[in-house]
Amino acid sequence: MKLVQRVNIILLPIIAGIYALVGWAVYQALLQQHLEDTRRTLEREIAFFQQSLDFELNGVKTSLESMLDTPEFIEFANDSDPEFGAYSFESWLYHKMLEDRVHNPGLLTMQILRPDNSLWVSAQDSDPFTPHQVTHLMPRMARLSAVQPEQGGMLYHGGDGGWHYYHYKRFAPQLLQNDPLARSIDRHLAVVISAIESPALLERRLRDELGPLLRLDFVPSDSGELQPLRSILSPEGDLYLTLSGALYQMAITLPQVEMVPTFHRARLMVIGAVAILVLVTFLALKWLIQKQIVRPINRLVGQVKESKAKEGALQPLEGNDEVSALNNAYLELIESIQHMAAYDSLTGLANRRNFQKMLDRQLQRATKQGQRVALLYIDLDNFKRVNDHYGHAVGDRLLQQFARRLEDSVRPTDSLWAVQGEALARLAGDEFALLLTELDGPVAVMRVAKRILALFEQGFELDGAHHNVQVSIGIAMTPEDGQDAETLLRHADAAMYHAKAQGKNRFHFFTQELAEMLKARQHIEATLTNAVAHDGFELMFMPIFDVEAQRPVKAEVLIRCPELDRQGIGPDQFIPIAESTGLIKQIDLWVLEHSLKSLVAFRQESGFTGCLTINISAVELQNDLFPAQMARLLDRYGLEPGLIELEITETSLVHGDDDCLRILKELKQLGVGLALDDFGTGYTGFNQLMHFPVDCLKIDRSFVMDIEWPPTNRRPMVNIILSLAELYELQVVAEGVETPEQVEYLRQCGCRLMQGFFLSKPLTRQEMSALAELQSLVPMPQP
Amino acid sequence: MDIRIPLLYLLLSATAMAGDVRLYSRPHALAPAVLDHFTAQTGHTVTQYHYDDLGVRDQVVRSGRGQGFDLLMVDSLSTRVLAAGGHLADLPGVLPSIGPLCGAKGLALNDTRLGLAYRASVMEPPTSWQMLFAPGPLLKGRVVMGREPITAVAAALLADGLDPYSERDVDLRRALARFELQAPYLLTMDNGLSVAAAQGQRTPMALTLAFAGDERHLYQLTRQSDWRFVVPDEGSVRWGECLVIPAGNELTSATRDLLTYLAQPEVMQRNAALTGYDPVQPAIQGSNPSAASALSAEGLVVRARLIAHLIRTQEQG
Repeated sequence: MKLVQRVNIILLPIIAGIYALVGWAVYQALLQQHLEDTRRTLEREIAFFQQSLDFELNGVKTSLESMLDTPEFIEFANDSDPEFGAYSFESWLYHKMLEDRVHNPGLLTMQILRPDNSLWVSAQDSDPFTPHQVTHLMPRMARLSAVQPEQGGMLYHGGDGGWHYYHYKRFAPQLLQNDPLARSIDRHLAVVISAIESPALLERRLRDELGPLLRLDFVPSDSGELQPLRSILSPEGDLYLTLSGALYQMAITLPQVEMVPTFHRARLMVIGAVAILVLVTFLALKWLIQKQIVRPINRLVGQVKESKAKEGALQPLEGNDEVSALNNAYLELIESIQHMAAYDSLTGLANRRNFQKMLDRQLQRATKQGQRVALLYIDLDNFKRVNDHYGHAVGDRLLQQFARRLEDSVRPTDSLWAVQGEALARLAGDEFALLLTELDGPVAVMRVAKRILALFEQGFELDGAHHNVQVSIGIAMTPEDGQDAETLLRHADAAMYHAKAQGKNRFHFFTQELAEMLKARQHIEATLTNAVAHDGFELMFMPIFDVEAQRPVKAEVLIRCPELDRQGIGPDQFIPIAESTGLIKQIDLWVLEHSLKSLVAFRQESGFTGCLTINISAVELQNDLFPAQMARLLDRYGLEPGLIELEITETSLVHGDDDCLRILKELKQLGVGLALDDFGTGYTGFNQLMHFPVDCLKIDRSFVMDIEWPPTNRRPMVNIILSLAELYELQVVAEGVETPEQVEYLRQCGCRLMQGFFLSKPLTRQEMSALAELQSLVPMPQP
Repeated sequence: MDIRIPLLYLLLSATAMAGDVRLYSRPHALAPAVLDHFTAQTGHTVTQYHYDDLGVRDQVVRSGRGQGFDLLMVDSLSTRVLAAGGHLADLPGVLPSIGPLCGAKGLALNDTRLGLAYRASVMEPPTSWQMLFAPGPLLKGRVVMGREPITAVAAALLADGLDPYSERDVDLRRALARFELQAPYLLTMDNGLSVAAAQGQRTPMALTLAFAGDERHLYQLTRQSDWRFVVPDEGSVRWGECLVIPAGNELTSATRDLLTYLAQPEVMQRNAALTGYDPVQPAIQGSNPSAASALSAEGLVVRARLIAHLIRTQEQG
């Protein structure tokens, strides 16, 4: 998934989630704020109501007070015949009430009651036949007068559906209103009744502001008990407020349903805001990510892709941001990988691949410029022994040290040659290569080669120790030794092998003779490869006789390649080549399988009861798979392991390491016999024999030949070997027995098993089968 | 008493000291020529302060403001009520006659009849009080109904053939019903003369409750020469006006001289002739007080409330 898609998938839910949480919190805050606003609105309206009510009531009181102080009223009240005066006074009073309505529009009635509470004068708007006295209020009035005898008031529900205020005041017309002594006489009662708008106004305003379902319960009260405003939020979400004033009790109920539209609006507002914010934030972040991250990364990706085709497309960035860091880290990684791909991690020298590329370039350049170059193929001799004896760490350090010294040695000190950057390389484990360019001729090459060899004149000193390590150097030069890298390398390699074969710590130029040898070797390689692929080998069997029993008890399996045989090339020539090319493993397996198959045939055809001895390469002693392969073959042909004896050359054991010994032991545990071939030629220390699990020693033919013409007057070697075998209880087979004297001598020395042309030449499978059958009937030839 | 004595006294005092009489009066009740003659004879001047609403007048008198006048012109009933309440001073004893219309504390000025003033070019002479309350479609919005409680309610009661001073609740309810019938025809509830004074010749008024003599002033105020006065067949009530002295005021010679001057029968006749209002009849002056005097205080209050209710109703539309 691309980063942009991932950003879409990841960013959007995260932003939406965060804003949803914020939105929820805001919504809750809005709800709380709305409740608080509602509560404040109610408190404000109630406060306004109280002020409005006080204003109205004060207006009523003021009307009454002002009426009592008018000269008209005083004149009327003191009229000597006030009953008739009421006729005109009531008219005046009505006009007075009309005037007062300018400021107190609710005024309904102004009355004067006699001391006995009978109505005396009444100004009001009703028709003339309606009783003016508010008789239904008289009981309340009586109770109230008991508490507030001088003046007071009460609210009541008027017949018109509104609230009325009944205000009264006792007075003595002859005395001042505020004269306390006036209380001692019978006094009249002045009454003003006014419609009070405040409760209805409060209800109207509250419903306008908070909704039509708001309920206001307004109940008149004469108790005068004051209760402050209290608000309660019910579990259902209804808001209740209660208040008691001097003249009333009030309860306000705001159902939760009235707040739903507000909540709904708030919800819609929050959802809308969240949606917009999510969208805006998402787009903004996406744009930023696109601009600051994705585009630089895509640009980087493009540059990386471009850098595959065009070197230098990717350049270091100086920025301090992550993309620059990624770009630079990628560059470093590429450089590191390129370095790893091009250079040997141990020595820091160019590796084979890098060296070959460089070699190609230099060869092309040299060809164009008509210059000569020389390739030096350098191989460390005896390096394996350092690894085996001192460990790989020492071996690695030796290689590193050698590389440094090599670099120092080949540094141009004059103009006879040039060494380019990757001209010195480590091709394989202990193989190095050096390319010299701009050469004058072989002299310069020889100077370099000698300088390298000089590093090993006293062995190689490492960490204060001298290691018996030398180098063999093969040299190939253009144009005579080749003009392409592969040819030049192959020829230098061949020259190196030749130098190694000539004795170590020397160099050798590639020559025409070497070219021919290489050609022959290539031919043998091709023939062997073809033979492996097309079953192009044959087996011959050299019988091994028990001279006492006078019959063959063993037969050594010999391989032949008819194609090479016709060219006069025998196993002694092609086996080393097979070993050097790796073909030997396939050849060994071919020999083993066909040997076992032949043994089965011998046993069936001729009743042969002896065993076959089969030569295996020293390479198999490093092959961990070999014992298992041996076991599978034995199992496949149903043969007892003791019927097979594997021959290994003594020289293969000379430098035998732990791996070699382990594989020998595994083979031994398998039950097969082990014979040491060409014994005596490999300088195997006798004490070493104790460590190898061999069963049989095969005396090299050179020692058998010495029986008749011993080189010195010393005791023949055969005797020493036989003594040794007797000492270690080993079987002994004498090879190359060609005369009756040799047979006799060996017999006298106690050697019973022999093979050689005197006894039998190598036989084909049919001949061997026939011999086995015959020898079981006819005694072997006597010496 | 021989009238020559006061006259002599009047003439003598006039030469001695000239004064001004502040008179709170109804317009048109005193002829300017009469007053001019008084001034010419005595040297005293008369300054008139007019009212056209009896309720206003009562408030002025009852609030003590009346003491700012030397003389007040009030109706005969109010004279009696004010006298009973102690708001009036006694008349000077030099007056030639004290009649029953105004009692002991008022000098009767006129005693006229209640009737209807109408425009002859607009309607036939109304023969019934019912015509005032249902005059027919031609007079829609052209009727002016007085707001004085006694006379207005009397007219309604007369229209139903009832006692114009009845205090029976049932009669008064019928009167109220009669007033309610009148509503579509009303131009306003006010004194016809006040309406004429205010609107002049543009007034649509064509029928109004009036006193005999008002037609002359209606003509003068509206320049409509077809104003006529008629007393409907159901009868009428009389309405007398008196001159009274507010209690507590010192009686000035000018006031006394004016009262003495106006008390002369020939002056009274001359004033009646000039104003159009009936002079005080000797029989009434002597022995037949106004039937309105029979109204109780309660009856007056109820009438006042009834008229006030009608005014409110009319004002509210």
